[in-house]
Amino acid sequence: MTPSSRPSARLRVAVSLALAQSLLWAGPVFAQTDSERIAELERLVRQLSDKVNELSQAKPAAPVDAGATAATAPADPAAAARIEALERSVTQLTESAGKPQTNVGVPLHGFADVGYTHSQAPAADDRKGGFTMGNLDLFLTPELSERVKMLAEVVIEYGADGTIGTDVERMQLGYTVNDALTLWGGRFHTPYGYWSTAFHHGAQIQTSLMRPRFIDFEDKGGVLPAHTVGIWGTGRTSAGDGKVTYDVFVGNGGRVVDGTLDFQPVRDSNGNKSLGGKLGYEFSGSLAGLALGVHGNAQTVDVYTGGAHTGSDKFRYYGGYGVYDTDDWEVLTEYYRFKDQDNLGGSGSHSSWAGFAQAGRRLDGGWTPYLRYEKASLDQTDPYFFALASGGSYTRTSLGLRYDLTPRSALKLEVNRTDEKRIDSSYNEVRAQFSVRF
Amino acid sequence: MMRKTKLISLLAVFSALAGPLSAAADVYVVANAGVNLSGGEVRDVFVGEKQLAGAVKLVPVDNASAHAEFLSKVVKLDAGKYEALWTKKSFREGLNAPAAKGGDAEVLAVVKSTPGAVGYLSAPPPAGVKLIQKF
Repeated sequence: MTPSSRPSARLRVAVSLALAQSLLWAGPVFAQTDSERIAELERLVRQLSDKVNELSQAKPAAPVDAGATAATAPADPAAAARIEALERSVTQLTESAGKPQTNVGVPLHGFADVGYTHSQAPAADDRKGGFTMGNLDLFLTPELSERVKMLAEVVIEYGADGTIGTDVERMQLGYTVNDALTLWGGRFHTPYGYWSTAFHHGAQIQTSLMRPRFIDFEDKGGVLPAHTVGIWGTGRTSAGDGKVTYDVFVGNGGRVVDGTLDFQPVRDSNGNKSLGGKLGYEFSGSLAGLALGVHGNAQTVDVYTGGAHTGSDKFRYYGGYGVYDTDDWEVLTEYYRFKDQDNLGGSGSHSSWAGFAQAGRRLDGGWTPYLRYEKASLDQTDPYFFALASGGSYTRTSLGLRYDLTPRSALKLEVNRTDEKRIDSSYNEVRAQFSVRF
Repeated sequence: MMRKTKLISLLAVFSALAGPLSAAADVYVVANAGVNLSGGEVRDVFVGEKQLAGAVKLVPVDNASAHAEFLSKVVKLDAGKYEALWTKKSFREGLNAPAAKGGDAEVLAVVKSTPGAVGYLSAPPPAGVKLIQKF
């Protein structure tokens, strides 16, 4: 090997090693997406450029064999030209992929579930069980500007009578004032406890198959207005090592029409608006995953039976909630104390309560067994609970097993026993569900 | 000279083998030139807790080629929990998960061209973007 041929030899070694390097990385490159391959190619281009530069700098200044130089000289321009061409391609591809992140369309998300139910609960049509279609829940979260946003949620579901229904569950227009305050207007999930705003129609993201009955939807046995139409301020801010969370809302109060709670999406039947909120604290450090809070609400609820105004109740509740959500455990509890005042019938004030506690243990392999106990002790002389078809006292114990098939799909099996005080009946239910999110 | 060539070859082989590992070691969080952000605020940006830096709306951008390192070092979540977190954030608060880009070049292009953009790279950033912190 002559001195003059050394740079050429070095170049061959370096290029060979660079190729070897690219071969070593070939597996991941071919296993990746186009954009990831672009990134890898860029990295290779940089390495090749560095090596070429390194060799160019290492070339001896003199003496130089003219013949050898002539033989090696074309190698550098050729490599440089190829590198330049490759760089151009990469730049063009990345520029086309790297457009500003604005107006990127409307993100669409959703939940869906199907299942099987067998219930011994008394039913007017005597149907006891069978396969069921759950919800098809679609929600959109367009960002309309830097601070204006929207959340729209539509649920399509079959009712117990087999008719299909479409409901605009949420239609919120929001304005981000700052990191600690977002204002929403429209129809939203009433912020009480934890479950209402955390899970609502998202069957796949709630551990259990069913909701606690007393906080179920208005047309499915719930005794609280699960939705409100009005204005809602919500946010969180750092306090100590954790965060304070808060919600304040004002909206149309509810009414009871022929046994069903109506949250009145269009205008209010009386001048007293629903006023409520909650205040919580999310812990951090050794208590990370723990959140505690209090909530309350007051509104005047009118009762209508067969089109006649038959009652009016000053409906108030207050209470608290606790959540412990970690990799291993999920523990949820909510408590509501009702203090109602009969405005029309003169039966005075009434006191009731309802609550639940649920614990789930997250095991390896995606299994989560869980247990829930819920109880509602509702004063039947209270015009509000008396008027609600689902306003009777009850207890229910549920035992379930969840299996996360994938991060976006879950299988659940749940058995429960319910004791209904109003109709003096006890019954068992078995439910299975396959739920997904997308 | 032969010894030197061998040494260079050995170093090159070592760098070839160690390349992917060393590339995975550091994560460089960068932002559009107009963004004022501290390293301690980066996690909040990527979990939807911080949406504004002053009057500027923040636009977090994920980088597939450094995602695992970033989640491990900065967000302290695995990929599954990160995705689940954003599903809940989206459903509960109407927020959108960070756009996912395939590599450093795409992230750089977005960060340079989008006011409020915050991203992360697997290599030191070139001029034209603001380095927030190396993790």
